[in-house]
Amino acid sequence: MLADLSTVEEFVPIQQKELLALLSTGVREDGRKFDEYRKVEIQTSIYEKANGSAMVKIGNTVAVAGVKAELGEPFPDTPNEGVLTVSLELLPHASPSFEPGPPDENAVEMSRIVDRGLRESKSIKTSELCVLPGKKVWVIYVDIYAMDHDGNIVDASGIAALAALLTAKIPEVKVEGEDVVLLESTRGIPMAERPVPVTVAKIGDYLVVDPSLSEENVADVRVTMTTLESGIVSSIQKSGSGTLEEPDVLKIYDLAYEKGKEIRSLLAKLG
Amino acid sequence: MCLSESIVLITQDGVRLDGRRIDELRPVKMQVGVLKNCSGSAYIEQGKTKILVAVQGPREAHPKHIALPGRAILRTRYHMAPFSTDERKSPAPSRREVELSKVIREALEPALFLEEYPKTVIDVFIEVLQADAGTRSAGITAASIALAEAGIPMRDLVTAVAVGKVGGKVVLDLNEAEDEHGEADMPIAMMPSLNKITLLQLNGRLTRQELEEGVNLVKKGIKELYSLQKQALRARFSGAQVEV
Amino acid sequence: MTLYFKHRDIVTPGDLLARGRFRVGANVVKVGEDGYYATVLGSFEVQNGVLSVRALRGPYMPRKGDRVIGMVVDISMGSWSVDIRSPYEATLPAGRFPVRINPVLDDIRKYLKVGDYVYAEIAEFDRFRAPVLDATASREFGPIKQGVVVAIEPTRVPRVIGRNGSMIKLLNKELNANIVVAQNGYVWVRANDSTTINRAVRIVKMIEAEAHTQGLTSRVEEMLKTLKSPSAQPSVSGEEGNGGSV
Repeated sequence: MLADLSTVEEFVPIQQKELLALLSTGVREDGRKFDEYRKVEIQTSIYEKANGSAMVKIGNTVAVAGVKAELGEPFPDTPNEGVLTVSLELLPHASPSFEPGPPDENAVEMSRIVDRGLRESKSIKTSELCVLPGKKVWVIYVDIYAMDHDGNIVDASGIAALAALLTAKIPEVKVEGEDVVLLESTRGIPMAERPVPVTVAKIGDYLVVDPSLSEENVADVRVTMTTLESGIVSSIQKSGSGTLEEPDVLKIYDLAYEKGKEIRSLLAKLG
Repeated sequence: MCLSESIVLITQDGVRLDGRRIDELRPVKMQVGVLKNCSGSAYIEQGKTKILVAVQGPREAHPKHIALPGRAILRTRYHMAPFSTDERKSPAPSRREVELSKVIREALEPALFLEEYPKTVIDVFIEVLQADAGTRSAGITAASIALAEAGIPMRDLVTAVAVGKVGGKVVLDLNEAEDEHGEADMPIAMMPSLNKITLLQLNGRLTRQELEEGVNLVKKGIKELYSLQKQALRARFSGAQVEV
Repeated sequence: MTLYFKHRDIVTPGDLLARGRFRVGANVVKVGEDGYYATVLGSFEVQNGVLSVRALRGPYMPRKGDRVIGMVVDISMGSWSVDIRSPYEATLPAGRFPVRINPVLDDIRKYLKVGDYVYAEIAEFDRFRAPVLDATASREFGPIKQGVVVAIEPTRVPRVIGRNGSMIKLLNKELNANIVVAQNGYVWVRANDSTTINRAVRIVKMIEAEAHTQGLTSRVEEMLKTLKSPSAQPSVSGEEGNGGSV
């Protein structure tokens, strides 16, 4: 009964076929080259009530991030370290396929990719966010909204989170015995790294950076790699039910590192 | 943090806490056909990690509207038992479990001829009975032989194991201490005969060269596990258990 | 042309079976120019240049024309829903029942109720519609009212039937029983006494367990001899077999 399945692998959805035909000529649907990122715009400090905020546009994809800092208790196993909490919400505004309510597996996954990018890179010097060892530390909440989904929400969210963190201001504190007094003066959140996520999609045999929504829809696989200035990769996630060839791993790394550098230079202008 | 610096996870001459070399798997035991009331099942022990997998289906999709006209739906549930960890884990599915259920499904899906069973659902239940690192990869390794035992047609088995960076060295198959105090953990799943990667994740910090080293090292582990999977499947019809 | 396995070897999904020019049979895929891979766990078969793998386990997939035994699980106005041990539930319309029924006037429950077994043929199934059963084409079809029904792995059915029905003919003759093997892995055993039924069930179960091994027929013949010798007592004397008794 499986006899005719040998031909099944040649079966490709119609849209993918069209896109593949285009890709084989070396062009993407929107005219970009395979390794070309869309125009990235970053605006920061857009919401006064947040300690830090940023809006990132990648083409038509829009994500905003807000940072709120609160004094709270440290985790028992890290009594001298501040706490970082990252969450990503896919607003129903962003796509007809996003619905309000508890996050589905896609939202959970994207949120955890962004979270890991920031956390595993040790981007925040959490030890400098300790106020009273074992009792009071800064808890940094990074809440990200995906507002318009035209592909590659993960990168937009990761860059927005980073831009918001880099420009956030938290109050200086004075410790008087067991009491903590918040001062008028502020300081930045101590950052050790600038982790930038870059997503590459595999469509057929082609690797394209920063996939648009229509590319995402037909892609077999997406891989997000978060890299640091030094070239270290601090998180990887393959997403989607396709496969990768072994050499793809380093090809994707090279793309991610290259594009990460470009995006980092945009962030450097934020001061 | 200070803890990780005080523990010597790996000696100068490359011997790990549990006595393994950098390219050695933990002791692995796997068995298929361990449960009666399901289409396929498998049990795996990899070091202290212990996982039971059950496959139900293909069966009619419920609720009906989730059914797809052209193929079966694969559902995976990765779940950790409350007693599987040092501190009791709440039985409610965590965000981590939601994410892992998704990436595990996407690691298995490329191997399955789902178009053979339109409008049905195939459920894979991965229950971690004891967690000692490498649970998602051991879960995938066991799930794929449970699917094979269920008779579901596959392009290849899927085999998974993690590589990581411990004490500055790239090592195979992290145990819990290495996962916790090491510098990186990179689980990878492959269809070994077809040489395709179906799962790739990294938490931690690796250089480009370490990334390359990791992919090469993982293939050694996958090759060994693949042959154990095949032995376990063949043993299903002679009653023996596979052990190394 | 290279074969990497012998006829009847157990192979697993992903095993490279052969390279060269062969024809693709059941549960084999060709990858690339000349590689043939197994897609299921099963026993490898090479016959006249055709490579196939006979699955050891797996769900029953309905095929038009298959004779199956199913259990009624639901009843609606003009039809029965029948579990045929497949991912797809079958329907037996009242109009395809061996006796003429007027579903408007008659309560079809009189003929088959929930839990009853029925023997029928798959009249329609095309993967877009649920299988439709027909119980009119043969006089054997219809409700199962006597004997026992035992379940075996659907993948072992061909071995229990034997080539051109040789195995089942042997059993029926030697045991003086009437054994019907449905394609979906239900075996219906009828005989004049429960001892015979018991023997038949045991031997069918043995064939199921050893379906993939060599020299099966001679072992069956041996077992028939042992069972028929006067000293052999059935393990459950006087009881019905270990299947669903009717």
